[in-house]
Amino acid sequence: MLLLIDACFWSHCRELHDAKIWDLRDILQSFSWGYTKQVFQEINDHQLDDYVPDNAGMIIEVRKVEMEQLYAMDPIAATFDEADQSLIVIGKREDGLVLTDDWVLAEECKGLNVSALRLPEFMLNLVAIGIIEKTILYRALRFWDSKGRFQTKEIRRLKKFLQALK
Amino acid sequence: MEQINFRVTVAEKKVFDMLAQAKGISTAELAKQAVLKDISQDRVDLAFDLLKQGKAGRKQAWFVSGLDGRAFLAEWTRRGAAETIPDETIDRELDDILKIDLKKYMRKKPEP
Repeated sequence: MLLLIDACFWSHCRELHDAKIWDLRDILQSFSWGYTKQVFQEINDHQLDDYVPDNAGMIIEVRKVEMEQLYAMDPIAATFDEADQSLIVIGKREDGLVLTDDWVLAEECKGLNVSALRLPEFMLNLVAIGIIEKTILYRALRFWDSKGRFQTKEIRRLKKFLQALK
Repeated sequence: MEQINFRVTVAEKKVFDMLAQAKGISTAELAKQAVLKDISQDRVDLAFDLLKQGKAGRKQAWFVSGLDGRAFLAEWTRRGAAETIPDETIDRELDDILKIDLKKYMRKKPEP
């Protein structure tokens, strides 16, 4: 069981870090986490390596036959890029939780019984188990609202959830 | 890697070759650089259109844009862009929000 973090999620976490709101890396040591070779490649190709910690997560191999099994089981998955496909495969194999801010991938994961969370929901869950303070998520929500990162409806409902948490 | 082939006249090919030689790169590399430069604005526009239409998620839109992560998010804010996610998707996500037990993914502390 581990967290599988995609490039998009890392990019949004870096934005929160740049805005001095929260740093995902501060809490990662408490979790088992990793990425696939394909995601690692994207991290390097898209200059995220200045944020993603070196050698800290597990790099997990995906076999070609596993990818082929995925295409056979779900032809729609074949339309995703290799990094996304690899996360679905490992998510299934390792009972992983895919962390992605790409709702299309999150939906695909859920359709295949792979757990997935986007960043606001992940942070809300972290608040719920006492890993981060409510004020951090309030600041993140205000920041996302100012930048238009999430729909107003979603932000409003997240605030409501947050208020209801003890 | 994939390949794109296109035809040019003899005269155009000669100019391509001369320019490539002057830059010290191959003709194919020159053509690739020219095409990518020419479409750079179009691909940013396309990325945000796809995002707005709900035809692409954030990652796909980001990669289509060709911008680095910070530049993509800055452009998102500059344009006042919005991602279109179906209402039922958001409702379902929010309904399931606390069903995942994150503690399952935490490292086990070594026993004393």
